[in-house]
Amino acid sequence: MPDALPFMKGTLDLLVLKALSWSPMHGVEIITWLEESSAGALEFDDSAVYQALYRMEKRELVTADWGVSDHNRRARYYRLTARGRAALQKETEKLLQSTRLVETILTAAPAGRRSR
Amino acid sequence: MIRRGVQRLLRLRVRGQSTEAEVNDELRAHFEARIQHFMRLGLTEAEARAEAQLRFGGEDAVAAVKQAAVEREERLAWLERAHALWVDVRYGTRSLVRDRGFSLVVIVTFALGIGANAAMFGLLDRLLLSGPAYVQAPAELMRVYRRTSRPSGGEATTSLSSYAEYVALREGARGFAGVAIYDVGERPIGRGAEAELLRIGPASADFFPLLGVQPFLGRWFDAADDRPGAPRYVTVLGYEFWQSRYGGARDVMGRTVVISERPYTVIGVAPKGFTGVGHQQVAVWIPMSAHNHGMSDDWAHSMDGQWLQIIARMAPQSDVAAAAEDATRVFRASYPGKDPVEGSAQLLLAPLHYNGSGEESLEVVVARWLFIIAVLVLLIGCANVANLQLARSARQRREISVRLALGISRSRLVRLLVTQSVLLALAGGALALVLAHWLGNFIASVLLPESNSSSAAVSPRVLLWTAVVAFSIGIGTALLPAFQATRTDLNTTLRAGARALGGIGMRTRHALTVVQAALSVMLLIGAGLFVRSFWNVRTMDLGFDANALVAVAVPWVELEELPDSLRTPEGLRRYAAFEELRTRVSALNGVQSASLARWSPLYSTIRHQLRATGWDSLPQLPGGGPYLSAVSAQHFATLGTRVLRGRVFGSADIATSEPVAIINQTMARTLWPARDPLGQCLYIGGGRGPCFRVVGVVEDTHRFELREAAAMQYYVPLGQELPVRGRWRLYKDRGTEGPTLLLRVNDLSSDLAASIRRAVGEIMPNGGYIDIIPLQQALEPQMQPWRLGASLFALFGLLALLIAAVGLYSVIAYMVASRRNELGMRRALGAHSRDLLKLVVGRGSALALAGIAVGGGLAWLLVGLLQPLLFEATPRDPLVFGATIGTLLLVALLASIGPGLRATRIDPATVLRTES
Repeated sequence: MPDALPFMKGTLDLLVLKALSWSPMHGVEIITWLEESSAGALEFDDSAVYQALYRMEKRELVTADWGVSDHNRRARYYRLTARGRAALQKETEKLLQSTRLVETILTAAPAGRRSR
Repeated sequence: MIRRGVQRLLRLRVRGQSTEAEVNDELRAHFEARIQHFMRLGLTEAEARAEAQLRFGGEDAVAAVKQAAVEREERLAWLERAHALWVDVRYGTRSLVRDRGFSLVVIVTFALGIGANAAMFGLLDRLLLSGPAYVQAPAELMRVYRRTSRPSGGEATTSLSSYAEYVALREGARGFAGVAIYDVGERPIGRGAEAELLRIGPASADFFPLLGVQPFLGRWFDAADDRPGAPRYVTVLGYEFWQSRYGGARDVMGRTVVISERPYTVIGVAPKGFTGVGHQQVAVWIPMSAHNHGMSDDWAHSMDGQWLQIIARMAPQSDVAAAAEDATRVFRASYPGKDPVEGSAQLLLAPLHYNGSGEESLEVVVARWLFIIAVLVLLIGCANVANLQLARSARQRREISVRLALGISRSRLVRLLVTQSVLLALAGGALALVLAHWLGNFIASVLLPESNSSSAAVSPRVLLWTAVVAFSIGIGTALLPAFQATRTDLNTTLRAGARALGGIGMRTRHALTVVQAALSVMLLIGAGLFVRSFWNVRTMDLGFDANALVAVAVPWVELEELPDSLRTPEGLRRYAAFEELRTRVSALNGVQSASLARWSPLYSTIRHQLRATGWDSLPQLPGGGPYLSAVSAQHFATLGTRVLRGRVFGSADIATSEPVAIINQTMARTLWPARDPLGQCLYIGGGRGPCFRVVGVVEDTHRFELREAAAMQYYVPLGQELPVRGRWRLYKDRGTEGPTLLLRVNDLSSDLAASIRRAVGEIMPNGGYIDIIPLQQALEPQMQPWRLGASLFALFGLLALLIAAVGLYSVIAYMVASRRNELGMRRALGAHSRDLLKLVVGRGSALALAGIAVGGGLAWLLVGLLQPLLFEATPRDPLVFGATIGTLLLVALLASIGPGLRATRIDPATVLRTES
């Protein structure tokens, strides 16, 4: 198992949105999906996911309803709103762009001496 | 699709669950699922539980999650409310657009009511609440008044003060944070033919810091500029004068402006719209020391010359009464003279908007009344709107019943109705702003003609006021109809359909109509009284006929050391020159007669010490005095002052002939009530002067004001006043030390003015600016409050009448519509058109009569409050009351005759068919 990577709040929001882009999920499903798709390399508290969900619910990016889970239990299901879907697309692009930029800079060949 | 907000609303309401409980539910589900997940991965239950706890986060993780949930709920609840409001607004707008006629009438009614109200609020705010522009904390500023009382009774209060009094207060009074002195007046600005008579603002150097105002450019003058004998005169230009005369050029600093024939150096420009503590535009601000140059040498130390105004800023936490007491102490201690009356004067303090005699200025009183009136107009409008809304909700009764039957909550129904009403009020409010802008500018131009027109009539404060008023009346007018509408008994209404609507809310509607009529009666009575007052003002007897009377202030060519020089033959020679001038001007085409007077009406008055036969010390009258005028022979004829007894001065009464005097009626009555005044003696001045034998009695003339208390006045032939010695006290001064030329003309054309100027120029070549003023024009500003009161009272009264007429009409028309069946039956049973007409019009008249009884009665009781505003008019004027009642009855008749005629046209056959 690789070392766990801590990451920023905004990134978690984005990942949660990504998770919900497949289908409506409840909290544990989202957490499990994040663990599985990162092969356990992401480090976050479960509570942070709930905070992210509530935060995004407040901003009307996601919406929630009580439903019944696969195991026949009541669970709060989250679903993307139109606004959430747009935000996912926009934020993903932004993040990728900045990642590529950082990558370009970090992987560039060491600068040679310049002559006049 | 149902909106999410609505979904949430329903769900939450049904479950009634708190945010906390919901989070607990969700977390419980989380832990169960998580534990099972770990157990499936092979952990024991205890290990799985521990792992789930660990993964969830630190100790305060649960609290953090709950906090996030609370924030979420707050925000979502807000969104739901906003959404619900939006739904109501959309629904309301649609419904109002459908009901166009109703909406339009309501909006216009609101606009008129709110507009009048906003304009009046703006006026009051400007005059009273927010104070003059740029003045910091105007409520802390006080005018200083001096009240003198004679041992024999009688008090006089004045704001006119001496410079020495200001110095004494500045040095000694403890209750003030600062004291300043200023004056207002007009002086010629410019040189020769370019000169223009403009308002100047003489002030002490501490005036500007006291107000807390900064100059726009340059600096204010300081104590070094404002001291007697300063090497040069300096001035700060008013912003508007700077713009109009110098085109706003920045390099104006250091340039020279000629004011009253003397050069002043520009050192600054005042900020835009700065008018000192008054409301009138000031062209130039000059130091007090420069202003007083040419007064008697001891102007800075004598307390006798009283023509300036003192203002003071209260020290923090100082008490007005205590400060006035302290100021009185300081004044008495520093009083240098011997006059026991002056020496024991009491100093008083009053706010900035008080006038020269220590009373609230007429403008403010009128404005406050007009504001009350505007509120009444608004109330009448509101009653009318409530009335219309009642009628509308009666029309919508079926729709409302259906909605109630379908399960809409009553509170939501009320909210819908209130939303619609607020929408109408806001639309009315928006329209009202346009009206307020227009009306406000009109009022400002009438009431404050010389004030700064650059300040907008609709200020942010007016805007806020309008919004508050619109919201309040929007909600207020909806409550009664909403209450009525929701009290519906579903079964009856649904069954009965549209026909059985008669009588619903009718009693309330009648009551509202009576209230409207009553308020209109009150307003119209007020309007009538004001119109009468204005008429009385216009036609009042001033003791002179100001129409076509022109005053020419002839420059007294650089005779600043006047009092001494005048006692020499040189002075007499000058008087001869004036007489020559008078003769020449009176010969001009268009001049009927001409006279000379020192100290004449609307110009200046002077008080000398005086004794008289039988009196060692003269009684003091409320109007002050006795006041002296020195006049030429033609004076009374030129002014149109009636001679009551004896004779006027003739050409034989000259400086060197026997001293004679003419007294006014009040003086004759006061001094010699039981004796013949003719032949009595007046001794003018402190010493043992000669006897001025009284040779005539004339009627009283007004000195400065339309409303002023009677005072003793006496006249001596021009020239005979010259040898008088002793202390004198000069009041208000428009002119120069020399005589004023008074002319009665046919018409003051520019040609005539030019001829007059030419004639003066020929005799006094170095005369400089010659000020020609029609006296009527000088009186005009004093008539404004009455003119404004009369015109606005009348305007508002008519507005109220119109609104009330519409209200009455709507009620009667509605009655006819809802009693169609009954009226048709009556017709079928043999009633004549005349009977039906009588029935309908009778109802209208009955409502009007009830309103007249209530309104007239209230007016009869309350009208005394108007007394201080009325000009020689009795408040309970039978003519005004009678005319008002007649007008209202007539209007009621007109308003109900239309519906009455409609009632006669009801076809009994149709009615019978639909009834069956």
